Amino acid sequence: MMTGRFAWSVLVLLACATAGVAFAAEVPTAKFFSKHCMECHDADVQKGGLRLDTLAFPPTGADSLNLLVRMHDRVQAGEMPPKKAAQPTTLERQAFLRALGEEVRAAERAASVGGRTLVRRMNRVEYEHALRDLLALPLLRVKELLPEDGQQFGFDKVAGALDISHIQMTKYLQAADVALRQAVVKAAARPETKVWREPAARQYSAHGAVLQKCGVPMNNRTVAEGLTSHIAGNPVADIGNSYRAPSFKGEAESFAVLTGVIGAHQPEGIQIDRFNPPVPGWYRVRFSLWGLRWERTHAVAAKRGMVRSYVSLGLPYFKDAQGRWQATPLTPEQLAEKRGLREWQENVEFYGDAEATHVVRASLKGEPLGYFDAPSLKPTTHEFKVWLNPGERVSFHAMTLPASAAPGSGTSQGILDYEGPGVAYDWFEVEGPIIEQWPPESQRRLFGEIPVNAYPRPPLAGVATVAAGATDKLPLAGLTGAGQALGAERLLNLSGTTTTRFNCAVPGDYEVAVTAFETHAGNEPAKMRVLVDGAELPHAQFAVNTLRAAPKTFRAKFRVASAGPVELGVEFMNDFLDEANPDPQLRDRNLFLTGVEITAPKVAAPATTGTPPDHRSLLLGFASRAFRRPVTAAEVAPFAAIAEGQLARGVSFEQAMLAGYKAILCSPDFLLIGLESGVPQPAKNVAVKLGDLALASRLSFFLWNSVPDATLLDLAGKRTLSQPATLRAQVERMLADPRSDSFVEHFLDEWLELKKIDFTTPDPNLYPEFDPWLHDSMLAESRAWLRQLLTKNLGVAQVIAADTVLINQRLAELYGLRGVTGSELREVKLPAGSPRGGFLTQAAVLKVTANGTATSPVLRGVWVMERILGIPRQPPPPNIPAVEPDATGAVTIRQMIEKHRADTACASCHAKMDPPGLALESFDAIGGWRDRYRLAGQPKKVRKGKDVVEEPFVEVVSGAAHRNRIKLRLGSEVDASGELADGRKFTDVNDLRELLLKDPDALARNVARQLIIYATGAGIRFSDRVAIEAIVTRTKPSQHGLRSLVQEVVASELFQTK
Amino acid sequence: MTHIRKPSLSRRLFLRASGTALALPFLDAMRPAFGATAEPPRRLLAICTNLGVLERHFYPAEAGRDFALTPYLEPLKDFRDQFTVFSGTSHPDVTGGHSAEATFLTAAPHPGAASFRNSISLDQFAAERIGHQTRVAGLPLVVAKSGNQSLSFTSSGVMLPAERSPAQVFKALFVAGDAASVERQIEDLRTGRSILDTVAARAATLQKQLGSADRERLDQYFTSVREVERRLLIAEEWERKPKPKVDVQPPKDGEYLLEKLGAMYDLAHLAFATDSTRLITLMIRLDGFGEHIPGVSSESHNLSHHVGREDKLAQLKNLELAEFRQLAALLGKLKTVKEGDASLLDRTQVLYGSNLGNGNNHDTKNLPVLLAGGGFQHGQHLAFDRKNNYPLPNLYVSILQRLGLESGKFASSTGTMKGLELA
Repeated sequence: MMTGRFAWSVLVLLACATAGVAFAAEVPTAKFFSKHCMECHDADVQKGGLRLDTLAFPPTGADSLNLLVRMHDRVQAGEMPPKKAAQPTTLERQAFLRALGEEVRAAERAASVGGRTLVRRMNRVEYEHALRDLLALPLLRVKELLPEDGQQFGFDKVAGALDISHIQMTKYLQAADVALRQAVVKAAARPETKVWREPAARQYSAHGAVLQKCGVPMNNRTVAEGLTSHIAGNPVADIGNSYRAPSFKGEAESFAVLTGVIGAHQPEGIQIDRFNPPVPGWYRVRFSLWGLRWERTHAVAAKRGMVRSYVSLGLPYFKDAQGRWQATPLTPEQLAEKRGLREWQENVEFYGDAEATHVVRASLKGEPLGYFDAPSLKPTTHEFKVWLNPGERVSFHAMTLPASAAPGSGTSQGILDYEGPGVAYDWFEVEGPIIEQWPPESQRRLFGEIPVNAYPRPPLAGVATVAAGATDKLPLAGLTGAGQALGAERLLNLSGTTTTRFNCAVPGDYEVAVTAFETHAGNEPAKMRVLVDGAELPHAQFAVNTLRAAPKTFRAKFRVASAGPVELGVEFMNDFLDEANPDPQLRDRNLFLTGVEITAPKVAAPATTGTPPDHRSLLLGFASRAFRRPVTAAEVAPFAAIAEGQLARGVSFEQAMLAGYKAILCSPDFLLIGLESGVPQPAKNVAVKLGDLALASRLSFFLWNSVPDATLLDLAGKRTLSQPATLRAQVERMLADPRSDSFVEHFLDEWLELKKIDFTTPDPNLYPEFDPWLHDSMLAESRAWLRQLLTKNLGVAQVIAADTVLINQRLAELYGLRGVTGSELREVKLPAGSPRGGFLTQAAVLKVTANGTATSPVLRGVWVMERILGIPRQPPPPNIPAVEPDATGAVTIRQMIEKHRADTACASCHAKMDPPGLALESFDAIGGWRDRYRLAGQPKKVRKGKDVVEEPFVEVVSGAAHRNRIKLRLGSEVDASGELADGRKFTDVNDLRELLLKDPDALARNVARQLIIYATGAGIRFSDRVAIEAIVTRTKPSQHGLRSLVQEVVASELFQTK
Repeated sequence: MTHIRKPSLSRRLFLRASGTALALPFLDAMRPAFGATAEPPRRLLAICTNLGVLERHFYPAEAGRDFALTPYLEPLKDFRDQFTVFSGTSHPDVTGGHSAEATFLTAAPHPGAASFRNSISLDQFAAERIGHQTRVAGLPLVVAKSGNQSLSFTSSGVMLPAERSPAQVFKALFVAGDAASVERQIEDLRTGRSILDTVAARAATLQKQLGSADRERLDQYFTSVREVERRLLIAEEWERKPKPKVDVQPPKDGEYLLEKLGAMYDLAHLAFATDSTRLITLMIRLDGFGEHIPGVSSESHNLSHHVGREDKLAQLKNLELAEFRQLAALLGKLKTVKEGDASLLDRTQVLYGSNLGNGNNHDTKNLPVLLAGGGFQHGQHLAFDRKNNYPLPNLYVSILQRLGLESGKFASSTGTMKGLELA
């Protein structure tokens, strides 16, 4: 084989000289090159930085191969040779393309060693979903524990970008640990499911809202009895710093919140904070909501209206007989009567039409759980299910209220001086933990139906064994962990647990007796609790209210389900130290243990459960699911050895097994995708078909971002999955399964770059109306749209154009559509001529293609080119500065771009990139329509002829702070017209859309390419184009329906081969 | 009560008894041989006082090297050439008043927003890379009335609770644990290694079977596993190594601001001097403090909202001045300890600042920032645009690079700190 630059040059020369007999295949290429290319792209001119005389041939490496492909494509598109140069005949062109194409294909064949795809690791989205499915923990969150994944060809699924580092590996160990520990229940017995219900007004956060003057307790839509106020601060010494703080001492059936968040110091909103989840688990949360308008003392219908607050005149304090400042609690009547009131503010509106529906967002630790409607004066019950851990609280934010208190509501009487919108909460109810089975499914996946402690365990060497019927003292010297040995006693001088281990000779009911005393300090006795294998025993929390003179014995019972070692723990819970106490005997609270005794049952309890499976079969079952293929006993041996090593050291069965499981989750067979049908062998020049098991994994990581389920593995095991009809039916099943939500979300995150939605935050000076509700609604819209395209198998044209949109109230407002209230997305027919419809003009897309402040037609244009039309961008020639958007309004972006394009080096690419971006100039950085650009600052008064007029401005409702109507200065008018590279002109985005719709094949080709990259984790080679074209052809009958595209991608050779 | 034998009375006594003596100033002799490298290590102490710093007493009027010391900088006059003052810097897009406490070292945007998620903090970013070289990867500390609020956050934005008790930290760093708990810790680390050993063996088998293109991934996997194993082994050796012994009284937790702060600074000094850690953060949560500070009679959060009142401003100045005096004492200590031919201060970057530019109105722009020591060409006031702030994360990139990390970016940085050169 000839390689290198020299060879290529020789080839050209030869071809020119001999008019090619010997090099039949090369002649057209060489001739074409010298005739049409070399004039500009030789060593002297190097037009556009391209030099062809040094081109390596056959191409060496990816760069020169890519260059050949680019040449092919530009000649094919008629862009080269340039229009002003002599044109080849159609035949010449075709011959050249054919020959060049063959060269490229040959080179790709030569370069391909292990097939077009590579074995790759999971990305962190896949890792998280895989663990969720393997462990039956649907809400497990481990993604954020792992480093962010790299990206190639626009996707984080491509092997070349998924590196493995030691940090990555360390995080895998941690993440596996976190996941496995969540899978095993800590509770010794099935927790009781209880229903808790309380009025909203009783929550601590409601009291906080009263204090912050942004909430009001109500009975019968009127301010409740018991709303009072007191002087806070120190009115005597520091009158300037004292203030009247409202408080509520009463009962109320409803609680109205008048702001989105409560005060600057409590951004959580109203919380269900009087309920603490007793154990981690699923809980059902129910609550009742309604919307209202607050009118100083009572609630009326939630109509659109102004916010008014009033300043009360005169100090609400008086000096009492002792000369101390006291508060004056005023009734509403007194208020109205006694004080002159001055209207302070009149500036706020909120969303919706005449009779407004308010919308509340429920969230947990900042993550949205859902949006719920609060219709005017109509208490409405909502519910949702959520996984809660102890200490976690659900928060509620009203999205349709001013985010923080309106000006003036912070004055002494606050809400009684206030008129504005509000949301009332009646009550909160939490039911749970909801337990469908016990032990929970997550634990069954690891330990089967038998409780963890029922597994046989080898007795631990070197520790005491308590025989049946015996009562044995455990040596205190054997206690480790917290505290220290002190003579014959154990002193726990700090809070903590001391532990010791012993063997139980028989299963059955045991009793532990701990003898202890305290040294007293502080206002409570020492508290102690007894644990077995880390779990607190029932009725085993004790107050050790006895001193050294009279140590007391505390008893607790526990059940041991199988003979073997047990870890007993005694915890000192409430250390206390007060060094300043005058009595040295009362300074330090400590716990002393003087004896630990175990009483064993006389006879072994009969086994209540069947024979437990041994550790090998448990590991085998788990490994088969994790490795997505049948696993042999020999393969499991190393993992079993880990568990056995642990058991030999006396670690509990649970801990020992978790170490084995952890190893499975860190092994290459789990983390690497592509090993399921055996180790792929190097194969040169041939596409190797995937085995059924590898196909099952490719399919499930494509449509579920997770491991295959039992059905897929079963079909693969029988080798029937690869049969076309079976495969087709499975794709239908998988898309109908909720697990495919992960495909919808993640594919959009990558394909349309929606994962960048938070990369920039819209400038609050330019886009004050941007709020979290809009943010979440945007994402929901795009996801719902892809789901609809898949479910209804709608044609690929709907990617850029549609008659309907899926929107809620917030999006309707952004899109300027009327008659949509509430938080639910619904299908709305677009009026004729609307610029909306399809991903192209959805808010989420328009936001991710802008930077929060300004939009750049170049960036948006590139986005459309790459993501919608499938034309990859070329890096700019070196030393060309990027166009910097200017928000001052001095120069328009179009002027800047035109200047940039005057440079011919830039023009050739920009002629293709910019036009779609120019059409999208009609949309601002958050996806709203604009006729003029927004500028920072208030409109100024300017002289126009004889008159003084305000500059052009737009009024928007602020999403932050006070939800004011804000006037924003407007700059120059938007010009959304342009001309495509092929000379077709458009005046606006709808025009552009029509032009793009003329070539539905191009849209389908792009979606097919994107799906193939996503599904196979490898880029598209030149030689793959035939297969892509076949997909396009086969989906024609359905107008390239999205589901048909997915089906044909799966049916294609590209998907089914390594 | 009367029957209690003497030794059991005071836990303090135990601590004292177990921390046996060795003279402190001979640092080179004291640094554990294991952590010793050819070059003395580089370190970072990042301090945030949470209610702002009165700018009128802090920022010099003049930019550059010839600035006059302001009241707050006066206590630092002995170190004039060993610190740089920054004005006109802040974290881009960090808003939300007090909630910005969580982002002083992370620069994650909009901490007040409902959907806020924090990102990795400066110290933890470094700890992930160099933390294994010392017994403790990073040490988050807090001075506060209550709670464990910290400046340190993991890469997933989870706060690492800070230690509030200097006595406890002292115990963890310098007082040997009992043999059983050491053994247990070692067992855990060994379990980790046996897991890695198992998966490495599997990877080695796969490596042999795979074609060349696929083998590259396996090679990466294998190397990573071996690297983690090596680190676990190091951790195990740490566990076995006797803790450094220091000839000082164990610190008291204290009750008032200045004693707490002093104890934490002493602890930081000790931890650095013994190379127990190279990364410490200290959150000074002033809320609720106010007692026993000369010239201060009100609570500090109240004072920070001075609303322009002269009496409050005077007290606030006294409070903040006291903090700066403590800082000066720390710098003095670091300077006196010699390490090779340099001082500990030359090898320790001390970042001091606040998450609020103006505590009175919760402004998160124009953050007061000072960087001392660590080996820069200090002695200047780098003044940036007070209206259009310069990104503070750039300073963090400089700090990381000074720690020896090849990091080009941190959070919203746009480069390294302009005008700050290495010494």
